[in-house]
Amino acid sequence: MLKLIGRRLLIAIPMLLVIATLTFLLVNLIPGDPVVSILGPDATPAQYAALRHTLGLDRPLLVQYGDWLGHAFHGDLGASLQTHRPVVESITQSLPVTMLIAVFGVLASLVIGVALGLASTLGGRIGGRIAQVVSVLGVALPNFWLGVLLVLVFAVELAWLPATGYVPFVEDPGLWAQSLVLPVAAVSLAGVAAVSRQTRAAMNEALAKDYVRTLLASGTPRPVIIFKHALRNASIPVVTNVGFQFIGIFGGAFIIEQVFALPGLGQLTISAIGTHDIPVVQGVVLVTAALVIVVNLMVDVLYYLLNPKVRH
Amino acid sequence: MKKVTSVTGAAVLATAAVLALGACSSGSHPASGGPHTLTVGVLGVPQSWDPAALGWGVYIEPVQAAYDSLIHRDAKGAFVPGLATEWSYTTPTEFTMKLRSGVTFTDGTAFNAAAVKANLEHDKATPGPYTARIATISSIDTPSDDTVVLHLSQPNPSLPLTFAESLGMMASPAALAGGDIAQTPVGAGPYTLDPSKTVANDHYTFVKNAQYWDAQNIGYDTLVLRVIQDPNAIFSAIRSGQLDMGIGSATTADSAKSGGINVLSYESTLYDLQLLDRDGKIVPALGQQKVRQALNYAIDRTGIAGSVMKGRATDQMFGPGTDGYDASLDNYYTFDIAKAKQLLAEAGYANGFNVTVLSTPSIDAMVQAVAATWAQIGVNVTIDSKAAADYAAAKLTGGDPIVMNANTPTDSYLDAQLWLVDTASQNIFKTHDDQIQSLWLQGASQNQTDRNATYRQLSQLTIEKAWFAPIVQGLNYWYSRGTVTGVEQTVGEAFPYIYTWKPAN
Repeated sequence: MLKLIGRRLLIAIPMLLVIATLTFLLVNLIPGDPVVSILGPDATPAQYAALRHTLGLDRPLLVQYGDWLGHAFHGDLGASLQTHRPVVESITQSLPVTMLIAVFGVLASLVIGVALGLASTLGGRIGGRIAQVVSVLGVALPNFWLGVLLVLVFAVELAWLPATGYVPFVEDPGLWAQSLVLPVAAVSLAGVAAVSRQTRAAMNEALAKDYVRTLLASGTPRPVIIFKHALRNASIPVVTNVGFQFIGIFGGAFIIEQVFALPGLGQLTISAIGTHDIPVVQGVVLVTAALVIVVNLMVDVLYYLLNPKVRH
Repeated sequence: MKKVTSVTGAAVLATAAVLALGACSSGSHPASGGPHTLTVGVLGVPQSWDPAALGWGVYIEPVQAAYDSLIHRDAKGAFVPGLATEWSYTTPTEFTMKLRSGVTFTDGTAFNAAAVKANLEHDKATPGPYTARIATISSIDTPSDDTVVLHLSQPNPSLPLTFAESLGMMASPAALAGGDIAQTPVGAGPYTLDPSKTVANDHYTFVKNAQYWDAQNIGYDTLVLRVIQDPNAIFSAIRSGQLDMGIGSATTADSAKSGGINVLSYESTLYDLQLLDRDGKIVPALGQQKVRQALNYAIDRTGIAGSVMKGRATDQMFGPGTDGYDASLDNYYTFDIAKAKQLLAEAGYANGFNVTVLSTPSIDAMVQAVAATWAQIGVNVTIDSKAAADYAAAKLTGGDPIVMNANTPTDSYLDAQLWLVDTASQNIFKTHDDQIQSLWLQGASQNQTDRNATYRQLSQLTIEKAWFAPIVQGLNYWYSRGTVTGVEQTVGEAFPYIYTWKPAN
């Protein structure tokens, strides 16, 4: 296992370098000028040139890249052109909110998806149809549309939950939880659909195995066969798909944050793109790429631990 | 296998815990925090609290919470005392202010003439969106603690407006010198930012400044500004009771009214086509006045104001409430396709011509509406639509003969400085006109009555020369619940001022 981790980490370094370089080039190739975003459109050309010089944006691209890369190796991703705050600080503040939505989104997908998949397996043809409908809805409904609908019903009409905003856990744990319910529900529907489909397929396969027939013949109660034996085997592919679920939901959270006005990485990124805040965009892409690499590594390790066949 | 069960079991427990925690909250969701707390939805707050870098418009509320300005404005847009109690132009190039006494910043530093001088010198030296407005200040004298004299390199009649907006916001000189002002505002305003109850880019909590010179008229002990970048989300939050007020939009105004929310709507942003290539360098046809006039005649302003962008149809760049506005000039260009065709023919363009218009998605619909009627006179439009930040930069590169624009008329001297004169940053091709230049300078050194007459002449000249094709002065919307009173428009400003807000009971 250590070899596996070591190999993956070695590959990660050049991968991150390539991503960092591509991001730097792409962001700098986008038309537009960050100094116009800072000074507004009514400043004089001399003011724009002066600010460009102050921010080092008039240096050759290669010099800017080398400077940024050199600092990045030391954990310094530069400072926001708009706020002058260190990019690391902005990301550190925003990342937990997005991570919370993604983690709880994955958990909700797993729990509800497995339950639905199980119900559809055991519910016969009707159960299968319900699972199909949920699958189609999960794939077809955009999560931001669902988010708006949830706000309308649960926040505006019923006033059960907040329409917008995020309350830090240390401020009020109850309100913190409430502020996450609707966003998590919105991002997890697609995951629920995928997990329920997967569970149903895996359960059907598991229940068709010879050992299940043997257990039935030996008089083992059906619930024990389903929950103790078949579900365990059926869960392996579902659990190992968690990584992909997480990455998909993490990306979806960027859009959901706009609907629910959550101060996460999504809001930070969209704001930075709109104002050509290049260091922030670069920092977010780099951190997100690193996160994807780490998540994929964790999934591989989990699969290694769960599946004896892989170990041998 | 046990590991799978453990993982799944942990997932179930964690989810259940979160749901239970949410259900057992100590209170309801974060709604408005009581009779002495006002919660407002805003599209954003300044990314830097440095007064030199402060924006205005959508940032009016956070800026006025953190700082106080030298001059205030009442609901009619008239200038009234703020931190300055009197002001006047002793000559066209000398502006004197008398300051309010007994005022201190929240860090204990005294507010006086030296503080004003320190602020203005800092603003001149620090690049910001409005630095050009004080470029004419050549020196500052402080003959006494409560008197400031500004010497100008040329007449600038717009200083009262400038000092009523972001460049009039006074920060503690100690904080300016300390270098941390960009992160933490230190002013003498009605509120003070409470960092312990603030989450950057989410919500900003301001507590009432008991030392504020007009504290008895400030209606709330706590002001919470929630950053919500989507106006529809602000609307949902107001409906659900999470916010007391916030920015509205045309798409939700009717729903807001029928839902019992108070809707304040007023003219603000002017949407116009800047016919920049007046010398015909890129599109020779635009070099002819008759062609530009034809384009104006071929715009159905009333139709656009009724359907595409709600507001008041207009063909004037200077809006109501500004020096140069002349009501008799409204409808100078009626919608007349036949007249437009005649003018084009007289100019030698009976078959029309092709032209590109730079635009951005939020205002593309208006360009499309104009393009449809211009097509009737043979003028074929290619819309070059760019994202907001790229659009702002593209405007300055000078490659586009016509630009669809949106800005708020403020003051005719400043507006002409921005749009019309030789050095105007939005006069991209640097078109020169002796009459325009002369009228602008003439009005700058006159008293208010004479300046109004001069700038009305300037407005008429601009309309006749058809340097622009104004279309509609659009409506801004502000929503508030019945629990708040004193919510009113300040004429000439994009959004309401905070000073008059009070609990309804």
